[in-house]
Amino acid sequence: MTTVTASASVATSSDRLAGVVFAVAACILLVFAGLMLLQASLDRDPLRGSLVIVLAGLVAALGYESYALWTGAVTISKIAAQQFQDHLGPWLAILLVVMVVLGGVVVDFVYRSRRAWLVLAGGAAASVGGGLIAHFTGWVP
Amino acid sequence: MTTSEQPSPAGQAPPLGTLMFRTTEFEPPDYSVVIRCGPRWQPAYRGQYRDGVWSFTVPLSADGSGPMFRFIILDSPGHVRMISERLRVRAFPDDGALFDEGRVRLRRISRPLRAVAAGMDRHRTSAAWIYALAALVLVIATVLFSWRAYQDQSLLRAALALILLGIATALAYEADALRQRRADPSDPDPTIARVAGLAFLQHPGAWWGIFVVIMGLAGALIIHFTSSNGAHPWVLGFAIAAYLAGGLVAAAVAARFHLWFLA
Repeated sequence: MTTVTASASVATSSDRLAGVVFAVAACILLVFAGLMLLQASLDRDPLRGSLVIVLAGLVAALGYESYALWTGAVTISKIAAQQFQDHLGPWLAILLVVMVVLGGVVVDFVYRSRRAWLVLAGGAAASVGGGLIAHFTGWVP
Repeated sequence: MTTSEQPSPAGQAPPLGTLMFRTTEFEPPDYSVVIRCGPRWQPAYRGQYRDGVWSFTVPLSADGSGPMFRFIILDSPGHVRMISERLRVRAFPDDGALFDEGRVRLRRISRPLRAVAAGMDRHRTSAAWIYALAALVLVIATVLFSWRAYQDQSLLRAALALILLGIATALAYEADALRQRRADPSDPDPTIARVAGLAFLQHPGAWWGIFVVIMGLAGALIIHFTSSNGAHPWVLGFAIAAYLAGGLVAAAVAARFHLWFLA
């Protein structure tokens, strides 16, 4: 069973600033979800409806992250990192499955475009770029 | 391609044009010819044959230019025998009409390829069941997480339950879209893949930007989540290799690159 230590219980000013950023992101997603809900109800579109539900979940998650950063509670990042550290094998397997599906879905979505390979390669390059930025600058998304 | 109308101003209904396919090889009753056009290669237009010419009436773009299209040659049972390359007619005014002509290269569809296409069509029902099953599994997971969220008063579990429910709804929609083959001729197959593909074709720059940002964040998060006990860059390497492998598998399995319109 995983335990998360209480070392994160003190929120620094930078944590609080990050909390504000997450709160703003949550508000933006909330507005977007509202607009999407309006469109879904006007068009009776179940696909937009499903996107609204996913967005609502993301808003709740971002809201939690903001609260956690502001109050010093355990953040999603710490929970995920702890899980990865404690159960590397299962989470690595899940990550690999998700990434395989993601690659397949990307090609499936864009194969009508002649830029399909460019999109796939661009996604890989963006991941490498994001990883390098996080690694060398300590930037935490 | 000809049309008796001049290009219409923006905002007005586009004019109709006539595409003509001149052939002495593919004649009724042994053969019929259809064209598919538009960004999703939908819908299909069936040609009328007369005196060595197949004629098709199709909507033009607002500026009078012709759509991108393919000719598809069917045999009498309705199987695809040959397809043309992608064609885009760039019409120009000529004595009150828009007119252009050129040679068309046709490609034969081999028997094994036709068998694959027929198999893909049959597997459509199986795919719908798989999506429905996946949606059901996610609904069960949603219920379990909701119950745990209620018990633990956990906002995070509630958020996860909502996200799972949204994905389950999308999967159920996909199963329904695959199973039904909607009767609407202008949009007979509104699967998520086609909806997303069309959006990407219409606004490639915007979706490309969004996708790059998401993938950049994913890469940063992978490093962030795995660096609590020393950085694990190899995890990111594995993840990207898996992502590329998924794309390659999808491209390989998708004889759909060439066959999607046969299904």
